[in-house]
Amino acid sequence: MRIDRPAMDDFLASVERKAFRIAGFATRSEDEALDIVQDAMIRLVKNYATKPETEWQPLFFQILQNCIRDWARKKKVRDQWNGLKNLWRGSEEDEDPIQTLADPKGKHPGEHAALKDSATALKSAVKALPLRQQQAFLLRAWEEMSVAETAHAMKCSEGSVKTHYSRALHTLRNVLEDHWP
Amino acid sequence: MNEQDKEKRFIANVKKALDLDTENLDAGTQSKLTRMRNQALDAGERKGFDIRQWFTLPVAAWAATACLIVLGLTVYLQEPANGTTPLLEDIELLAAEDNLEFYDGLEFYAWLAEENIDAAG
Repeated sequence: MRIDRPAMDDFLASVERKAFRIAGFATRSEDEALDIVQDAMIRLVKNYATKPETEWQPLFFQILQNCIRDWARKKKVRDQWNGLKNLWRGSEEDEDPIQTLADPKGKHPGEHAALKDSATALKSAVKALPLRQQQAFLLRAWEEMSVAETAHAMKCSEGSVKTHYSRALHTLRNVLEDHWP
Repeated sequence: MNEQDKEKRFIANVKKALDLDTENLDAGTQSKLTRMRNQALDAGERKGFDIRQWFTLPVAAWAATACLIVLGLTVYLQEPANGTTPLLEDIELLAAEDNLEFYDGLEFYAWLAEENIDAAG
């Protein structure tokens, strides 16, 4: 397969930072976000490099969504398995899973001091959103995808996208009303 | 300002903040992203020769093949149970060109031979 390397290089350079941030919001881990972005890049280049350049962007973000979904699925299984192991051990010194749950308001103890500016507050609030709301919001508001494109990327109905987006927007506006009234 | 305008302004602020944050990515992360991008491009160019594809065959297919091999070997090497004829011998007998009636009357022929010996003696 012959790929247009300079064109693909330019395209990946234009989306890699945004993809890293989107994956980072989902995973809350830089290393895992990097793994996801690398996986998405490789899949795009291997499978779709011969497609017209205009199709690369929606394809890339669709692949990125698939990778994030795979990561979330694996994490769920891993968490369930760890929960079972802890239950089996009956250990009290293990980490309390309740402590690791996301605060729906995005205000973990100690985070208030870190909310120095609106950007930090925004990142914190986006991270605290449920995964589907977070991804719908980022694709619609930041990546400016249409409802149909977002639904295709997220493999869900347009109605679901509208619901997730609307809930995310509502939560974010409430949380950030002090910064952006 | 109506609700729709407020929403648009909020989204614009969000975009601006996220864009700014993305532009200010630290050098270490940017370096990793650049390296990953080059690796992805290299992987795309050598796709046709990627031996790892062989190992991505579904695990179920490998497991099914292994089961069939084990099953086949078990049947082939199995000792015949007491009083039964091995499968391969049955097939040989059925495939023989001898008339099956010969085997049905085997006892009669044995008796006849015995009588002839007695008569001769």
